[in-house]
Amino acid sequence: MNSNGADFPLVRARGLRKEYGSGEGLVRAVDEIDLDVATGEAVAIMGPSGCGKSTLLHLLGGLDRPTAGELWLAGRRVEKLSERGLAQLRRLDVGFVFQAFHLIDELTAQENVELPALLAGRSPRQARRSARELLEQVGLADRADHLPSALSGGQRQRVAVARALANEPKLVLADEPTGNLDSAATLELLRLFDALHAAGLTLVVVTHDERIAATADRMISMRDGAFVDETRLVGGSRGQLGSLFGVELEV
Amino acid sequence: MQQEVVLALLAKEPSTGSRLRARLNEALGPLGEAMNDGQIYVNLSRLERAGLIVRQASGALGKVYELTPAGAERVAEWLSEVSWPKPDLAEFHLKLVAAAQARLADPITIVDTQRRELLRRLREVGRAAMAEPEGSHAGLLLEGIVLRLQADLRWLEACEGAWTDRRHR
Amino acid sequence: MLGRTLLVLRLVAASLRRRPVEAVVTVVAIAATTTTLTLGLALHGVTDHPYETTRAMTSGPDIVVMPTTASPASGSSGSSGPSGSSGPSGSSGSSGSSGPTISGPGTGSGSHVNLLASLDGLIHAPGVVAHSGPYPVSYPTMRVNGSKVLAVAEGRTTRGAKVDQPYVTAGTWVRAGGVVIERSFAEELNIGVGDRVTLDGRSFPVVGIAVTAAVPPYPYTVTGVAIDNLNNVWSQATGLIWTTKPIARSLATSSVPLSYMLNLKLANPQHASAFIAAHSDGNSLYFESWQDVRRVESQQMLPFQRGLLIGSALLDLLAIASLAVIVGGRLAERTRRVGLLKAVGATPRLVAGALLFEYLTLALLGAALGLLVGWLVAPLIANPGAGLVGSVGAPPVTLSDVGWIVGLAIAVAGLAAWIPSVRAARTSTTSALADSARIPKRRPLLIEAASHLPMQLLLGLRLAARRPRRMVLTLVSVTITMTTIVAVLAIHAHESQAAPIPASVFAIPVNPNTRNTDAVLLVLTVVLVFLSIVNAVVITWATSVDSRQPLGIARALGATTRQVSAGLSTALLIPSLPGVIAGIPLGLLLVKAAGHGSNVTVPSALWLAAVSVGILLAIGGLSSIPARIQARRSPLDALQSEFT
Ligand SMILES: Nc1ncnc2c1ncn2[C@@H]1O[C@H](COP(=O)(O)OP(=O)(O)O)[C@@H](O)[C@H]1O
Ligand SMILES: [Mg+2]
Repeated sequence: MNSNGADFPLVRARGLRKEYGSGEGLVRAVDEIDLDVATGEAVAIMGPSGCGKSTLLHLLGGLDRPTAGELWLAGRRVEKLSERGLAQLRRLDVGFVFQAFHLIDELTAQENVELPALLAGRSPRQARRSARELLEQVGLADRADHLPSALSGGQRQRVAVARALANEPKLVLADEPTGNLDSAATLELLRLFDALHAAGLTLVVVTHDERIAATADRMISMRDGAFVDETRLVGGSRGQLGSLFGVELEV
Repeated sequence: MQQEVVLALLAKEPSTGSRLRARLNEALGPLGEAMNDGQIYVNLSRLERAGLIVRQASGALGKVYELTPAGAERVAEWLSEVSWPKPDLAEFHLKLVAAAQARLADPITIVDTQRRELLRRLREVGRAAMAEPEGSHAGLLLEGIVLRLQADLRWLEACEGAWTDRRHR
Repeated sequence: MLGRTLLVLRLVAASLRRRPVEAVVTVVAIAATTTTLTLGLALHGVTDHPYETTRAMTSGPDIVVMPTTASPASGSSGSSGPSGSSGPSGSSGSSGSSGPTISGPGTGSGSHVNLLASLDGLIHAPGVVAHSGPYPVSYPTMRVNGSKVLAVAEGRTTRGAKVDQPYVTAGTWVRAGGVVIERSFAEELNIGVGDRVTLDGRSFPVVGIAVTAAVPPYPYTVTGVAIDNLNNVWSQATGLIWTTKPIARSLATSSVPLSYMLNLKLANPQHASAFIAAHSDGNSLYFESWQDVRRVESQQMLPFQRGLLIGSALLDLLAIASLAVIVGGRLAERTRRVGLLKAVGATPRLVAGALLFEYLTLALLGAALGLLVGWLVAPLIANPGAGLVGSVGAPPVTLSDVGWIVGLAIAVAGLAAWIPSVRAARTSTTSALADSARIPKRRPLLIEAASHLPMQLLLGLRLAARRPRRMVLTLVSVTITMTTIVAVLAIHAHESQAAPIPASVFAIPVNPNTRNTDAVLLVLTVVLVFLSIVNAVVITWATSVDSRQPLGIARALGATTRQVSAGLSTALLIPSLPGVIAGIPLGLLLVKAAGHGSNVTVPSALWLAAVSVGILLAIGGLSSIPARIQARRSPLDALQSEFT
């Protein structure tokens, strides 16, 4: 998967910076961030609203260009890519999941999932087959011909996840994917992410939800555009579950 | 957990100790694993002594217990009781206050350590919850613990914010 | 109350500031519609009976009488006036036939006295209530600006006449030593007041330009005169000039002797034919009734009027199309905005008020702009200069027109604000916010078949198919645009086929009326094509506004600029293609209907193909502009603008 040797991370950012406005109104949405994400790793980014999480994610996914700094994805320099190169990056290497879903209203669930494959030049037949499989995987095979307006929030987000996976990306970026979901739908999505992570997908998730963050391998806290804390989350093999929360009877 | 739990389970039908154990496991999932069989048998014999249950003729699978009228009454009483565990945050809160006042430790470091620990726990419970099939009783219990932990984490966040502000003042 | 007004104002200002392009396009679209209507109204004014207007203004005669036998000019007797001639539709006696009629040879040379006596008899005939003349008429050869033409010089008094007092449009009426020239004649030869003309070698100043209802305009101003050594005079263009009686008399020659012209007014103008039948004794007198003149005129005016009729029909259609786009075009977006305002707790009344006020502002601005443009362009169409005999220059844009147009603009603003308000009020706040696409009933065959298409086409097709209202709107607009252009082409094709007037000694380069029609058609064509383009731009823009979200998402997913613009183009071209095809027969049908069933000249296939392809290319090209503009920004803009 990694073209530049086994120990080169899938994502590497050095001194990444993004500024909006100028003069008095200058906002450093992302301020000198260094980040490495290894292949297969799941990273959660948490922080208060407006601290620059979305901006960072947009930079990582080639949706926006940094003001300064260096960014590699799979060994390729991203910030130097042309507009066309960025489009290709978004198309093939990255899958995006947005808080607001961003499904195309006019297209059915199936067609939304087909879209990235079609954009990548795959044949309609191929695109359709893989879209069916993905919808099956997210448990929405029976909703394939529904328009987004006829789906619940959780279902829409699962369609969006299926779409993000359409071109078998190296990296999936999710921006508050459960921000608009209730707790049952959140659990659904968590299961999905967990399965993807277990299957070796690299994930960067921005979230307010500690529960999602806790499933990651690493949790990063962000304040005012910078990383302030990093927690490597280990364990979780249910080893201590009994001793921590186990139920005992009074004897 | 009180012995009434075992008593209440017998309200459905007369049952053996091992059968009760199985039903407890089903309702508690991974959280019931820590319980050992001895706890159940000790409880049963104590309930029998109190006259709340009686032993029927021994079956092939072992002793079968049944509720007495007094036992049934106790179950009804227990069900109507309103009790709820007290949130136990005061101790941690005082730990922060004391550490700050005596300048023994940085409250923020304490909060941070605690947060890591809670996150680790959340991770474990979350995993367990994800592993439960949809609609299982145990899943619901785990969900409750997840939400508790989330609430605790948010409170820790508030603590961190507040102690950071106080330090700057 | 004040607070609420302030809130409405602030909402409107914010909305305009947030979407300046939308505001500008709305203003342009309304301005174009207003221009269209202004021109349409102006045209209706022109086509309303120009001859009758002129006749009323000049006390036009019911009958014009001339002797068919010329009187011998002073000093040269004995020449016989062998033949009378008449204009293409002039009638000798009561024959009433149109086209050239040459009356039989005159019976010997009559004298002044005889001629005048026979005309005098008519003055006192029963049914005649007024008259003017007989005025002396001679036929000098006129040289001016390098041209040589045959003129008909009528000797008049400097005072006005009770019957047939020509309406002076420039300069003054006949003065001693000066001549007044009939307007179409003057325009054709490019003569203005103050110029000098040479009549049979003598130079005269032009003191005025005037119009009359007594004779048809140049080049058919032929009076039934016998001129024996000028064959085929009737087939030549002759123009009318007025001068004093002495000059008219002095211009008579032995070869072209003096004649007379008498204007009669009857108690009942409808009895003109009967009067002529009763008084035409043989062939010695040539009569022309006012109906004859009107017939010649309307024949002359026919292509012009057809052009105007078609033109105003097309203008009306275009106006309807762009109104439909304005009202229906951004419905989705506006409904969502209403939902947004409702979501933050605004009452439906407040929301409707804000929307209405915004559109009213835009509509009035557009209407003012459109009226200005219409006012500037209308004279080019309504006053095409020479050939229009009757039109004496009514103001092209009247006050009532302005009232109508402003009223319409207000109505449009009301409708554009009212529909989304009602829709948003009827639907729940959440669904107004979503304003979702239609749920496909069943997978249409079309979409099934489309899965073999290239990706861009597929995306475009899917986008188009899920927005049926937008598709119908585009279809209608493109159909009207194509209809317009095909109709214009057909008229031009017809005009260029019309036989030219045969060359002759008196060189007339082109039939000036054909030329005027061409000029009018040219202006109309330019206006129509311009409006069609505005229409196309508005459709494209409206579609791209509604496609901003899906295309922004496609870009976020890695679609290239080319893929995005191809998708948008396809979404537009799918309904445009049938529109273009339908426009061809519709355009021809329209021309045929306006021509009262006469033959329609089908423009060459090459032209039609070129126009069809041109329109499709234009729409395709236009639609790539918004996509390209979007491409220069971050794909995030399109995504985020949806939710702010
Ligand atoms: N397009 C933009 N123009 C100007 N400022 C922006 C823009 N996008 C984001 N910002 C600013 O950058 C900061 C970080 O925003 P964002 O990344 O959206 O935060 P988060 O996702 O963590 O809530 C905020 O202060 C926000 O106001
Ligand atoms: Mg964000």
